Amino acid sequence: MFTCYSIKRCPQIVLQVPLKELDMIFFKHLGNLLKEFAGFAWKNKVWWIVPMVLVLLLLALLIVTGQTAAPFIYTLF
Amino acid sequence: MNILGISAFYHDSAATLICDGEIIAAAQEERFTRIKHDHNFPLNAVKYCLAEGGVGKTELDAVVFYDKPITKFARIMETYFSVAPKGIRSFMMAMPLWLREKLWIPMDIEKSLLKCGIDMPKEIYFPEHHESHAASAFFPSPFESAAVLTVDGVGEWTTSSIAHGRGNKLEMLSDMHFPHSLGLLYSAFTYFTGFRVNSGEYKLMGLAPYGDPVYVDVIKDKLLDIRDDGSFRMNMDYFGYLDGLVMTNKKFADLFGGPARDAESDVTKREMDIAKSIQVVTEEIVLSMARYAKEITGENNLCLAGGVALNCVANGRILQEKIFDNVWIQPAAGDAGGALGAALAIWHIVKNGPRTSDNINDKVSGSYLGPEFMAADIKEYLDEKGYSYEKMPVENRGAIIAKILDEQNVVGHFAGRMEFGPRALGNRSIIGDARSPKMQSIMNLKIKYRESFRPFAPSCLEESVSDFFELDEPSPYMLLVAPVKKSRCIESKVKRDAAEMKEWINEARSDVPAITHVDYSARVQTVSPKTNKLYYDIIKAFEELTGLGIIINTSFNVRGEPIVCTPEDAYRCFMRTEMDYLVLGDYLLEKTKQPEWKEEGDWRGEFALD
Repeated sequence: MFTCYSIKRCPQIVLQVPLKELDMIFFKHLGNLLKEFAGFAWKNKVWWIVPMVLVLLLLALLIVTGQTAAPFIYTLF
Repeated sequence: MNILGISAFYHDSAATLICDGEIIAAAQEERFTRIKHDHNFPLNAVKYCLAEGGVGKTELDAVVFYDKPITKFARIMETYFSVAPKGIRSFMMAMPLWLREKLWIPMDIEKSLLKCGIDMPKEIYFPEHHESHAASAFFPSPFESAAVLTVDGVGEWTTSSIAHGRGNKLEMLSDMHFPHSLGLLYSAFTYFTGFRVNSGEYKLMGLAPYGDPVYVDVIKDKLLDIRDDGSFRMNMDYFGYLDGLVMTNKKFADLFGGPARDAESDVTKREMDIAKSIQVVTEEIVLSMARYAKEITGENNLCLAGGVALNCVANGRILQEKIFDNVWIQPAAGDAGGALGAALAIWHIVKNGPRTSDNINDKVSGSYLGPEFMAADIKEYLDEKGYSYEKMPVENRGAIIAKILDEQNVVGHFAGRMEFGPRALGNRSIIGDARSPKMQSIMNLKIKYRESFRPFAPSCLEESVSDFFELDEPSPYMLLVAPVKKSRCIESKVKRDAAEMKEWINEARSDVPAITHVDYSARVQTVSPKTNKLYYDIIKAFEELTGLGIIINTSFNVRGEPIVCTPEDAYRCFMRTEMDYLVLGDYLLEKTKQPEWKEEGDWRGEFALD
C-alpha cells in the first residue's frame, strides 16, 4: 500500500541525473522528433510541415530562455 | 508485463499502471499538486502508480501516451493556415506551449522515469486519442462484445467515434472530424453562459432543468446541420474557436439576444433557457449516434467514454430509450481515463493480451484505484498534530456515522483508496441526510461555497435503487440521471420563474428533497458491498435507523479545489468549512473538539473559481 500520507512527508523527487546526461537525452529526442516529423510528412504527403517545423524550432531556440509560460488558452490548441 | 499509461498537457493529466492486463493503480495529477484540472506532466501520479505496483528499476516494459502529438500538431497548423491571417494571436500563444512542452513528450517521460529511479523502457506508444477513449470504455467493461461510442471535444482530428469491441479486439468503424464537435459545441455554450470551458460543462447541465427549451429551433436552424446518424456540421460563422481566443463570436451573441454572461454575475432566465436548449439538442444528437452505433454493430451492449459521456442526463436518456439492453460508462470518461485506455489498448491490441468477461462485473474495482492510507499512519498524523479524535469500533462504524447523519450533521468521509475520475464515490465524499429540505442550501453555501442552484447526488443501496428512482439497474459511478419515483414526489407550488429561484430551489419536491432536482431527477450512485463495504455499511445503518437507505454524496472539496487526496487535505478542508464531523478511516473527529484553526490570509483565494 502507498503509505506516504502527506506531501510534506513524501520524499521530494530530486533529479539525480548528471547535466551531461540530460543534454544527451535532449539531443537524442531532438533527433527522434525530426525523424518523426519526416516520417509523418512522408506518410501523409504533407511536405509543408517540414520547413514549418524547422523554422519554429529555430525560433524556439531563440526564445527558449524567454518567457516562462504562455498564457492559458483553450486546450484544444 | 508492466505498462504505464499517461495523459497530459490538455486537461486532467493522469497516470495509470497495468500489470498483465490487471489495473493496478490510476490517479489524476491534480489530486497531488492541488491544482484543479492540472495539465502538467503527471510526475506525482506516475510516481504513485509505480510505487503502488512495486515496479523495480528495470521492470517497466512499456509506456503509452494517450494520443498522437504530431498528428495533433499538424491539425493545429492546418487550422491556422486555413484561417490566416486571422488567428495570429491564438497562434502566437499556442506555439510556445507546443515548442516547449507538447512536442517533447517522450523526453518528458524519460526524464520523469529517471526521477522515479526507473529505466526508460524500449517500447513507447502513441495510440489515437479516440482509440484510447474507446479502449478505456470497452476493455474494462463487463461485456464480451459491445458497440463503443466516444464523444468529446477533439483529439487529433476525431471528435466522436463509433467502434466495435469483441474479446480483446477493438475495431474503429466511424468517426466525425474537427471542427464539428459535440464537445466543443457544448463548451461554446458553457462559455457563453459564463462558466469556464473544460470545467463548467457540468454546471450548464445542472442549470438546464431550470429553463425552457426555447432556443432549440434556433440552434438547429442556424448553428447545426444534423444528419440521421447523429453526425452534424457546425456553421463556423458563429463560433470563435478556429481563429480567436474565445469560443463564440458577436454573430452568436446576436442570435441569443446579447453578449455572453460575465462570470460570477447573476444567472438569468436567458442562461437557464440556453442551458435547457443545448441540453435537449445534445441529447438528440447522442441518441442518434447511439442508434447508429447499434445499427452498424448489431450489438445489445453499449460502452461510452469521452468528456460528453460525463453528461449523465444524456446517458440516462440512452438507458430510458432502451436502444441497448446494457450500458457501461467509463467512470473516468474524460481525458484522465485516456491514460487507462491507452495502456489497455497496448496490452490487448498490440500484445494480444487475453481478456475475460462475465457480462456482470467490470474491471475497474469501483474506480477505487488511487492512494490509500494506513490506519497507523493516520493515527500517527493525528497524534503528531494534537488533533482530537476517537477510534470507532469496526463493528459499529456504520451505525455511529449513520446516527451522526440522522442528527443533521454534515460529515466528511475519508476512507480506502481514492477514486479515479471526477466523481467522489464514497471514499473522498461529504455526506449528509437526504431527507432534509435545507441540506442543499446548507451544503452549497456553507460547505462547498458554490452556486446555490447546483443539485446534490444521492448514494443509495444497490438493491433498493428502484425504491427511490425509476431505475432498475446499478449506477455505481454516478453517471446516470433517473427520475425520482413518482410515489415519492410532491407537486411543486412555486412558479417556474428566475425571480423565485431561491424559493424554487428550497422547495421540497419529494420525501428526499436534498437530492431531488427541480425536474424531479437525481444523479444516482448505487453502492454495493462488493466494491465498498465501509460506505455500504453506513447507508445500510442509516436505513435501519430512519427507514430510508439513501444519503447525500458530494465530493470532498470546496469550489475550485481538487478532491482531497491525503488525510492532511481532508483535515484542512474540514476545518475551513462548516462540516461538523470528519471520518478518517476508523477515526472520528468532532469539529467542536478541535484546536483553533489558524491561517494566514483568506484561504478562498487559494483556489481559482471553476
